[in-house]
Amino acid sequence: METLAKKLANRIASSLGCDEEKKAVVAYGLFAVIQIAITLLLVLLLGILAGAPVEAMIVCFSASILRKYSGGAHAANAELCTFISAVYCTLTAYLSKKLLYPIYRPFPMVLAIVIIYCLSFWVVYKLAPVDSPNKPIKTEKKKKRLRKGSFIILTAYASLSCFLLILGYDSGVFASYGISLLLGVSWQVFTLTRYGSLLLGKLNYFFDRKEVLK
Amino acid sequence: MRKFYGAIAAVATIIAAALASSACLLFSYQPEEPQSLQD
Repeated sequence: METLAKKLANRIASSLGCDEEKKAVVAYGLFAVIQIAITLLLVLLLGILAGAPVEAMIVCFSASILRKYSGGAHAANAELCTFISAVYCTLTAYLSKKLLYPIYRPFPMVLAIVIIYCLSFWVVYKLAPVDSPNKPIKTEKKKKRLRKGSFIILTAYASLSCFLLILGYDSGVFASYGISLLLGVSWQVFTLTRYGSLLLGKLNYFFDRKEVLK
Repeated sequence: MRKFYGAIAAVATIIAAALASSACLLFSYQPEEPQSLQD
């Protein structure tokens, strides 16, 4: 994906006569578009195959919107990142709709909401934003802004979870959406922690050795 | 073709600038950010 974005940017830059910096900005933007489009398409397709496309998209959007502010551990390459995102979103969507929804009860769901959001707020307060070597967060002002953004997003998710819990009393489909939202938030918060970083590090190492996704 | 490339470059630049204010890209891979987009 990164190579494709760079090739396209090269062609555009030579046609328009852009300098190296402008070319790098265009390549960065093109890479973002390509990665977002491919990941969303793959999650949707696998979600349809798993019989839970809406749940898969809820997991995907809830994790990625929070990630924009909180940051988190990173994969070694774009292909591995897309693979991890697609597999996690599909598996948790299937888990929400086919395995957890049939045994859904309001009280355990309330307990899960309270525990997951309390832990999430605590982890975000302690660790967010988690930057990466390729995009370091240098200023304190930006760190504060991103942490505040993460809190706002988490508060919105917590409100949405309560809303889906109430709607879930009447219609089962909302209960399944609520479980998916919780699983999306849980994954994103997990990637902020040392254990999330360790897991992604192990996956990077494993796939790098196997060269499966290069 | 120049106009088409110009439009793509404009859209890509807007998206790159919009993402510059975030902690990282939306998914778990972060390519190196261009110098002009850094803090």
